[in-house]
Amino acid sequence: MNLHRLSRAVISQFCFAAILLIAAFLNVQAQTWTQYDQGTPPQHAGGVSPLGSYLSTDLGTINLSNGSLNLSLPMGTAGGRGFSIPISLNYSSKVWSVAHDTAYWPPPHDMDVDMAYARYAAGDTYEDIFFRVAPGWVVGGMPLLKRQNVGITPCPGLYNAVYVLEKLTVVLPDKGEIELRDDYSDGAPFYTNCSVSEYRGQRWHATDGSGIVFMSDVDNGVALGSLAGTLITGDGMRYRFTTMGVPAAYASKNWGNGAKFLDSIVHHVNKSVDHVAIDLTGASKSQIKTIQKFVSGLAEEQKKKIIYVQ
Amino acid sequence: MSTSFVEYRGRGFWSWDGYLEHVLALLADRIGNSPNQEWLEHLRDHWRAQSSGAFQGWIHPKLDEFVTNDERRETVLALLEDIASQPSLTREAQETARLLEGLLRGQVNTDASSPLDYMVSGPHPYKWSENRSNPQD
Repeated sequence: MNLHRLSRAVISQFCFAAILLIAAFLNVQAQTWTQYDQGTPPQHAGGVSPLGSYLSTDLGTINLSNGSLNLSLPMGTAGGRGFSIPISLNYSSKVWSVAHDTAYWPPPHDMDVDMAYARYAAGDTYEDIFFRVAPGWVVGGMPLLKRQNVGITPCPGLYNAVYVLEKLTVVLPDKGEIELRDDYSDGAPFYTNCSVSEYRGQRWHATDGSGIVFMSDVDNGVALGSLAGTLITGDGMRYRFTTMGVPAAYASKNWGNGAKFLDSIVHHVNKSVDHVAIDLTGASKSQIKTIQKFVSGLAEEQKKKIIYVQ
Repeated sequence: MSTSFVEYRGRGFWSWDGYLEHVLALLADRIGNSPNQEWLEHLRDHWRAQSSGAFQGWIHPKLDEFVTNDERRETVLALLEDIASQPSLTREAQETARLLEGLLRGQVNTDASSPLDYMVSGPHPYKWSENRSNPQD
């Protein structure tokens, strides 16, 4: 009987405790209801953002093509009087990339062999050295343009290709990338027949519907190796790019002692443009070192304008 | 494609490379194969090289180095006058030659950071540059 009485008492206590607990939960729910309780908030919904990245949070993006995680930490803004540029600290987990080359296999084989290898932090070379912090980490403030020329089917005995694909990519401050296509052929490979020069016209458009366009200063400028022009983002912001240097510039007879090239860098960074792309294609290591040493001595505002293209 | 800054005695102007190369090539031709002064020979060779297309974004006519006195300045101005009088000269080359003349006469007050509202512009592709790239056409 005692046991019966005891169990009744325990049951009563449990019931009382349960009522208190439920009341407490009701109270807690009333206090901490958030937008997450009704599903995923719109700003955190998966999908393609207006700027072309897969938006998972306000700070991070995931590149759908290679799965890399990209973080963008806001650090502040520069400018004022109606024009300001966000400055951010960015990280990309894609610090390794695959490269392909031909290597010599010494005797007794004595032959060239194709090889694939992994490169560490190769993607960082797309950034101006002054934006780099550590492999994968860069400071971002402006969109960059990246040009890539891909030859398809080599012409027998020649250096050119039967088809040429010209790729132009906008790298956004948050490390998201948007591919542009030329209006003329909408990105189709150009049939050169091993002799005709590639033609891409003057206007390029974004493939993701973001409304970004790039107008090169001259007709067929991008295919000719020049990124001089105006990038117009979807919200109407315009970025002016200028460029200097071609492979022939670095031939010793043209380069001289380099003084005129360095003088021109100063002229360009003083010009009313946002970026100066210095094409280092064909430059020797000592020439690159000379240029980078010279640039390191420029004022911070001038350095920020410079992009190296290789 | 790109633009270069032409400088003389602390002042200068920006020009699209194609127009500048065209004018420098015409000036080099005007100097001829056997100029009577050695500095003109060097100037001709330098301007020919500068108009080759190898100096995109940093074409430097070296005016400060070559045009060091009034006599040389008058010589170059006479060359400019000669090419400007050619009836077949393009409008873009004419205007670029005029800017060059103004710079030598001290009438140009812009520098590298000045607004670019004076820059010569025109339709592209520019015929002279195109013909240089594809001489068989």
